[in-house]
Amino acid sequence: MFFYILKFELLKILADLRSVINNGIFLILAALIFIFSVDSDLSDNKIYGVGIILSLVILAIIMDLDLLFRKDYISGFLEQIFFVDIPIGRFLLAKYFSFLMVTILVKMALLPFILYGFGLFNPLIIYFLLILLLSLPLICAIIFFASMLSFKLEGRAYLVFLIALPLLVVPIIMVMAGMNEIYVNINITSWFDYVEYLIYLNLIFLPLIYFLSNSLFYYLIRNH
Amino acid sequence: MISLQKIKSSSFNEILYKNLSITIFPGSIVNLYGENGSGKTSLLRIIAGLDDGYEGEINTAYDDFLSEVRYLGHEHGLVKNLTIEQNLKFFAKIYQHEILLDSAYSYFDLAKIKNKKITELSAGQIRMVALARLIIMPGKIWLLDEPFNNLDAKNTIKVKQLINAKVNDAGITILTTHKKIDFMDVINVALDDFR
Repeated sequence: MFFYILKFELLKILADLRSVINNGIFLILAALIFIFSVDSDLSDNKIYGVGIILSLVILAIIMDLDLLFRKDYISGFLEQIFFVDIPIGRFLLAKYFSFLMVTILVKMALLPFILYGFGLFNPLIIYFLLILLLSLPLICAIIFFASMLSFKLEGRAYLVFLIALPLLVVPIIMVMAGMNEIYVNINITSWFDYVEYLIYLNLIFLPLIYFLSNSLFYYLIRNH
Repeated sequence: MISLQKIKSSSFNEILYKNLSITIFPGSIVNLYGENGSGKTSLLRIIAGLDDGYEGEINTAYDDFLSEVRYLGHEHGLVKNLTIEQNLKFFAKIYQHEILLDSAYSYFDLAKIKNKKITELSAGQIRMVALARLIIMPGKIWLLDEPFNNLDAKNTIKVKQLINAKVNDAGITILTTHKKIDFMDVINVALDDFR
């Protein structure tokens, strides 16, 4: 049943292809603006390029914040899920994985072009792609949780930025510190340490966010 | 059995209803009627467990009340970019009632348009898709918010027949409308009487 819900959630995302395309266009346009306005070649300051690309990727994912739950809430689909005979955790997991899969697919498909544009397309970049790939489950989980918090908040949406989004600092620090070891200190062993930290963070935060989302769902769907 | 005891609810400091007590037995249809803003939807949401903002007591004789409830609100709960078939199949698959899909299509004449997206349908057709979902989802209690809205005379009769079949099967239907209705043994409850 989980895989069927996952398939349905993927179908929902693909049926709304405009949002996926808009997200990709945002990423490319923002990258182009940086490439043309700041410096077309960051090969001497690779760490800046990594920082800019990471910011753009996170911003592009944040663009999905409103789409994840708000659409389902407005259409009454979440109300139907409230009554359906499936554990709500299974629905939330399927929704999270579909979001993660599409995010990884779109970002990883576009990143080589963006990296090339920044003059960062070299063998070492594999370290950036790997550490980014490891941070995406955590980044997506935080955005997923933020989206859940925001779907009913309306005027109090700033709470999302106070509660959930500061958590993004954690994967950002891990990715940047890890890449600093590659480009500045040229110490691959330390890079592996950050990869390890990131794996631990995923193992700690993902179940935590899952349990929080699970209990929040019933609270958020009801009027109080 | 659903028992509402001394229910009181307010909206923006204005009391919508108070001392509202009804006991609804299996095989009953209850029509909560009143003008716009009288609190019909709010009461339906309270019964459905979607609104905690009330005083009073609600007791039911069901072990797992929520799993028996099928709720149709103002919003239809359909994914707009997907087709009728994709929407209904999702719920049918969850309840392992795919066998009932064809009956749901044919009851509301949806078979020919089942490949149309929800965005391509008229308001009445969308309502019918949402109502067709009731056929494929088991549950003894139907909570229907203005179910006849946007429906033509032919489909209004079909919905009434569907409700009829549900209550004959020891189900309960609680619906809201703007006026008194008269079919089967509907218990009409005017919310204005409880202001």
